[in-house]
Amino acid sequence: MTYKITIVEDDIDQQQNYADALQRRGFETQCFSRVEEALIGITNDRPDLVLLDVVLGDDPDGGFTICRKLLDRGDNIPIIFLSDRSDEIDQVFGLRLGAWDYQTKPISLALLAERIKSLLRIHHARSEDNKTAPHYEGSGISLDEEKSFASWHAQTLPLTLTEFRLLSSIVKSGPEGINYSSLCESTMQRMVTNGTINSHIKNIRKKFNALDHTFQCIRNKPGFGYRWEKD
Amino acid sequence: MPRFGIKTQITLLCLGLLSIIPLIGLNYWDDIRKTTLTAQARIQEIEAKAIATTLLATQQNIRELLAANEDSELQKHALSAPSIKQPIRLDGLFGDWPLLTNAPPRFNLDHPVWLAVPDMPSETAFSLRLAQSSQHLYAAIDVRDNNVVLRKPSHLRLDYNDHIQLTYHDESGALRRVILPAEQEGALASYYTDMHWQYGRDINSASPNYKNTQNIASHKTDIQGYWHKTTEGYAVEFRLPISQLDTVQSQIHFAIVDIDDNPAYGPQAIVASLPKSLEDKLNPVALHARELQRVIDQLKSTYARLWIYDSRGREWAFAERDPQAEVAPTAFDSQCVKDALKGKVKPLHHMNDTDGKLNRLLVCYPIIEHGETLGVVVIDESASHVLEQEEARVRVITIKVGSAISLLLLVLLTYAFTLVRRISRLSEESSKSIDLHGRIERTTINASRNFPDEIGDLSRNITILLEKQRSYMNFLERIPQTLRHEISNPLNKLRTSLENLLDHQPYLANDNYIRKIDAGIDQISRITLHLTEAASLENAIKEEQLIKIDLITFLNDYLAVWDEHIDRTPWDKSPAFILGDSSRLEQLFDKLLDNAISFCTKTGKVLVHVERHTDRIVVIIENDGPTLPSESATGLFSPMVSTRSSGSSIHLGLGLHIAKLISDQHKALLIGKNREDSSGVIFSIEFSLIQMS
Repeated sequence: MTYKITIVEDDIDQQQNYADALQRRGFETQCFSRVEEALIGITNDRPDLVLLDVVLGDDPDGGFTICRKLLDRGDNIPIIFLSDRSDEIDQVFGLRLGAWDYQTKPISLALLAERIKSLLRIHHARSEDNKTAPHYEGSGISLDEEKSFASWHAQTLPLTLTEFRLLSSIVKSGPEGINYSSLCESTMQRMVTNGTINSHIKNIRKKFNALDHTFQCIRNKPGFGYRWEKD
Repeated sequence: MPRFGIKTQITLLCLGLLSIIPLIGLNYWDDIRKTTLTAQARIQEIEAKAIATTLLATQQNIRELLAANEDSELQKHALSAPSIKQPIRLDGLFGDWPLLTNAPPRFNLDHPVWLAVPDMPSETAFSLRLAQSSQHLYAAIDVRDNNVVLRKPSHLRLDYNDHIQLTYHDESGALRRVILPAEQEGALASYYTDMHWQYGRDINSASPNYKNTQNIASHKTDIQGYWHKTTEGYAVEFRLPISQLDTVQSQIHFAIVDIDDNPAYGPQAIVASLPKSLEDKLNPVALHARELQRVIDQLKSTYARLWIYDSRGREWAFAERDPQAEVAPTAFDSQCVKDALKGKVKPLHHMNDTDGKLNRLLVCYPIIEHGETLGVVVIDESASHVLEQEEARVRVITIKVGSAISLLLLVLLTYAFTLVRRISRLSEESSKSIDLHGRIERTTINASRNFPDEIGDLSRNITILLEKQRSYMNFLERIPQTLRHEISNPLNKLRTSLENLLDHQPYLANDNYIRKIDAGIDQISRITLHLTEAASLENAIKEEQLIKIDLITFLNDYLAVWDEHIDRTPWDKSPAFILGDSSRLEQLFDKLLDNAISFCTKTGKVLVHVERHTDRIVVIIENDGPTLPSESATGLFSPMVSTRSSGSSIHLGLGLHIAKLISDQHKALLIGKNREDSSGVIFSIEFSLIQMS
């Protein structure tokens, strides 16, 4: 099956690079550089996944506008933001709009392709609506790798794909823990620092604490990484 | 250099000014003294001239008063009545009389008026002293009488006993006779009488001869006195109001009547103050003339002493400011008076004391009529008094001026202190508007903001400056973020293009230039990542909550990863709890250890050790290697400041800035300094311990 990927990027060179890389990997692409034409194009030819730049031409929030309109009309299309805006507030805003992931430039095309494949697989798994057994379960945590679903004491954790991957790696490492370098790899991003990992872990903890303020299972191993410690 | 605040400077300045004023005053005091004495002398001269002129113009009988046209024979018997200051005690004892230059005149049988037995020697004699105050004429009579016969109480007659006959012209010019009988020790009896000297008469009688008046038994005069028995006879001391004397023709006469044995036989002898040849005359006595006295009395409060002498040296008037003062110096013998009496109008004489210091200003101005010098007006003033008065005036002026200046200075000082306080508040508020790292915390300065003066302008200008600076700082703070945004797109273009190129032509993956391009893109990517990290950290840590962490456990776990790069000195393993965030602490120590290792010499070491105190714990990271330049801590931890070079590694100067931000988040004290022997650098982070209950 050939998946259709819509690329909305105002920089034609980057747009072309994304398209070339994805086409080479078997994806069908359609490219837009403006909000209106993107919305029309997506409406006319519904893609399987949308890659959105945030800043589109003179519209600094063009990507967010497209995302909101697509999700408002009930299009259950996975959306990945590819943006130069790396502020946490932008990332949080984009993810809260309903995007599946937020990647900051520069990106790795290979990793992007892998991420797209992964998302499409997850999207497919979730849309089939079949109940699958969790791949990992224990001490309150439940992880469904196929759907990238995580739950804590049967309550769904609203994690992004990157956060799910990090949590999954930490949970699986158990009390022994996982080092920063492995965690960086699990994010499927090219340029990740320990600080980036720490920032993601803080967000994951916040989401756990929103469900359970006593949550303390993700423990830091100073200078090494993180470990999972059962209650 | 010691700090001198504006308050201290103003205070010292004021004290300096206040001390200069007396110095200036002292410098001028000598000039003031000379000017004052000169002015005083000039005033005295004018005053003396005015008195002389006034006397000539207003006193019609001035010639009569002052002209020396008396009988020259009678003048030989003129009596002297020097001025006295203190009243004389009337007790018959003469010890309190002022010492006279010459012995008091003595009258005996050289001037016999009457002798019962003409050729028989008689011991009867008397000495007479006169003195005058402003109110009274004093007389002291010492009578030698071997046989004092006292008046018997039964006697109405006054001449049956020893007695003194006193004759003078009263204030109306009429001749008055007073008899002073020897009665008893004590108060002196005195009676007005007639030319017969027998009975007391009533003074109110219309007739000067008292022919129709009744004899009176008690004395009615205003004479006060004392009768005292002495070994040689008796002494009488009395005083007579000058107001009852004619001061124009001031004349008086004394006669001692010696009664021995039977009074009916008449007196044994009568000794008078004039010889027999002048028995119808009275002795001239220089009493102060009331008319002249009135003139100079008006000035007595102004000058120490004033005299009016006639050309013979008789003192016609005398006044002085302070009757209690010591004996008044005489003026008549002075060269000044002599010159004036010669008609020389060069009145001023300076009289110096034995030390040569000026002590008196004597002005003598002649009273000249029709070319004849009738007398002289003398004004004497004490130089010290003039200077004291001037000093008093200067003192009052000085006190007033000093008070005014002091008050002015006090007001100015208060105002200056108010300004200083406003400046201090402005300074304090300005300082607080910027934190330790130079970040502007607030832009509005409220101190003196609403004052319409220069300090208000300064306050408003600082506010404007801070607002502009904050805008600029915001711009600077946005630079990393903006830079990252601007770099990200071309970088992404490069990265994706390179990836596509390598996908199309995989053989290029081993190309040296392609590898360098790839490495360069990675390096730029890391730079942008660091920039992002630094830019977002400050906002991120504001929302982070610190939790209780055992720093010792944290360090032991954390440093295990670094063991191959660092040396550790063993430390106490007991827990040391602080409030912290383990991931941020990790970030903090990552930066410091990265820094220490990158700057450490190849053969050098990075040493980590811990100092524990009661309420704090200090983690110290030392490394051998190049030292820090002598810059302030603010500069050392400022963003984009790299103080040392370490070859090819990326040094944006963000590491220590991030470390400082995190240490501030933990309320820890981060200090960077060189080793004392300059062999390396020491960074220390001091955390406050949580006291565990």
